[in-house]
Amino acid sequence: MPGSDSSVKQDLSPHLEWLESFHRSSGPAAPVIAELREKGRRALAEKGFPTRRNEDWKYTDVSGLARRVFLPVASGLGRKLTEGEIFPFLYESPEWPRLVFVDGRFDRELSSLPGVVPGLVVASLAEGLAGGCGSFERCLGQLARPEFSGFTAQNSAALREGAFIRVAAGAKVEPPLHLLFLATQEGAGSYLRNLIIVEEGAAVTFVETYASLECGDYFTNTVSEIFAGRDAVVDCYRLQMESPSAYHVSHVEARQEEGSRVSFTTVNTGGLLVRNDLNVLLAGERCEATLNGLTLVDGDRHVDNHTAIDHASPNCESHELYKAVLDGRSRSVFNGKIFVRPGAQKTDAKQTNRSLMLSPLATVNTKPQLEIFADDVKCTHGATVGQLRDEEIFYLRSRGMSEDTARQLLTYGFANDIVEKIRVEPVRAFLDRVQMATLHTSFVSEG
Amino acid sequence: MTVSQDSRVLLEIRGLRAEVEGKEILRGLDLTINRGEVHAVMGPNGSGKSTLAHVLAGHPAFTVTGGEVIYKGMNLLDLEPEERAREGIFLAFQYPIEIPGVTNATFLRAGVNEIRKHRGLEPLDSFEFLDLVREKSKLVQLDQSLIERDVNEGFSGGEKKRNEIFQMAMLEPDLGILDETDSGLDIDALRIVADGVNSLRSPERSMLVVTHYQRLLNYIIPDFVHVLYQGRIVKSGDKDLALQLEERGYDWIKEEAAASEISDAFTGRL
Repeated sequence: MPGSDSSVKQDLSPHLEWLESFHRSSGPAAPVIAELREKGRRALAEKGFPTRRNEDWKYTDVSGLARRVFLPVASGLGRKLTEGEIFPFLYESPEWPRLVFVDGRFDRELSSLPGVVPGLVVASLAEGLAGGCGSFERCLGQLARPEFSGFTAQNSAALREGAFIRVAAGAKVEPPLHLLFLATQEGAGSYLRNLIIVEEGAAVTFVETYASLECGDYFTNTVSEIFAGRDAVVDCYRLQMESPSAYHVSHVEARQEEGSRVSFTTVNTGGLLVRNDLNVLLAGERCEATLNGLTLVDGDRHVDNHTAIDHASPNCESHELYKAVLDGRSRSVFNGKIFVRPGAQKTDAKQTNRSLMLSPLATVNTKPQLEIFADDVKCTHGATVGQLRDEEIFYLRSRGMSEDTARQLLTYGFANDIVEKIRVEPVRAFLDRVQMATLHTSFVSEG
Repeated sequence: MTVSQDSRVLLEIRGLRAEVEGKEILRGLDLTINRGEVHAVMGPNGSGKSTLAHVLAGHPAFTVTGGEVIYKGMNLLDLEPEERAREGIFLAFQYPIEIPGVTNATFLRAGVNEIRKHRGLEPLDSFEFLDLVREKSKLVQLDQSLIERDVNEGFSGGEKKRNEIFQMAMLEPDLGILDETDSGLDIDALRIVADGVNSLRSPERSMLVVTHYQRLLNYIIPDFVHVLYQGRIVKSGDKDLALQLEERGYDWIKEEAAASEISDAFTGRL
């Protein structure tokens, strides 16, 4: 349609300009970094940011975000945080090894790296590169291609900081590793790139936390690449708890080799405009992927979860359950792609998306997208959008609870269905408190 | 408001009429229940048994169009469902609701403490609550592990019904209403549920047992049996009436009711 936002040519020059000055000022980079940055810059210059004409971005309008330039905080200019300030984000588990990033910059002093855990490397990207792990060069940028979207291109072009985890073959890492990304600067951009390599037979759990300290309007653009080797077991938790006026765009790419089991739990409680892409490639046979998601969204906020599971080999299972609770004028988007490639027989894929509307003004767009090219497979999908059922409310009231309490408890239960599946107890307990508080406030404010 | 004179009277229903989705189900029902009594309400399908149970508990889908219900001297129909529960009315559901994400413990503790608050009692802390659970779950031989499971989710039919009676034991009502609690139970489960109900009988507590079949009444011996037909109680008696119904079915009741309606109409014309 002429005159619509998508037909207006995006002005990319402010973005390309700061990226160029960023490249100049950051000095010589390792070849793998320099190459990825250049690819990112080119992809952004060619394709720009996605518009609503792109089917995958139909319900998420990022034109406002694309017009703004969020500069990274220069080295040494970021706010210095204290241990006390980060403590609320540690799930009462300060003993977990952690990498802390403040406004996109690695903070060594707040980080707490494990002493000698055999087979484990936890480091910032820069250190991972300097540490000379050959796997780093081989893997970085192999899964998350800059061409995936303008945001991944931008992330690649701005590549400098992020987390590097490598778990050597056979190593079982405990406790969970914590990657904490905090924002403190109004108007700043954090461009984060994480690389997680879990080798054959290894096991690890890691938690990514995105949050802010007293700052509203900022942008997080984060890309993670996860390699799960043969028979590896990986549990990934992403807690997106950005400020309610922040922009958050994430892109996770995972590749699973034969017999690996990977679970992803994506929780969204924050952000003004949030877009998560989670793409999983089941490359080897007998893989198992579990994708759970929980979104609590209110006000004018918008949260979009796109997932894609690529069954490229036979005998793999995928289980996906995404839930959203919407209040106010908020919007939740879910798009779940499942590909079953020719020859991926005995695939067992189950996808469910449920949304609970607490307000008549909220909007849900949900779309399952199954493309199946094998004949001996089991693929199911289901989506429900609705309100609390009268029968449920009456059941609770008949046990003495007020209508408000009944609604709160049922809403809590709807969300807790995801939370109670979390295997890391401190994270589960934390989210239990968060959702109780969120739901409580939400109801109390409405009287 | 009418206040009952007799303190033994717990519930008095007069000329109750109710409809659901515009269809009249109860058509002038009268019933009085004294403290300590067990009343069975039987009747063919569609006679209004479940409607009666739901109207007394305050289900919002049913609209009362006439009559009154006096409970402990209060006008019951003025109370919200939760107020009725706090005043001691308990409905054991025919189809208990599954609530994923909420454990039985969370659910029941919320209910127990609301009711305690209403009675001017301190809320139970988690230890006191678990003590109570331990004591009451024995009554219906409910596996204690079910208390940490989500409400009714993945419970067998028998477990769901036992869970209802367990909830009744926890909430200690004055009037327990059992809506087709026997449906879907095998004989062993039926006995366990009935034993649980019997253990809750007391001189102060009354029960209204709604059932289609006489079978349950072999185990829960009622003081009175009423036959509900076309929204009214058309016959009352003692436990032998239930046996008669078991033997003869409901057709003779229907015929009697039809005859009495004709004679009523005839008398009315005079």
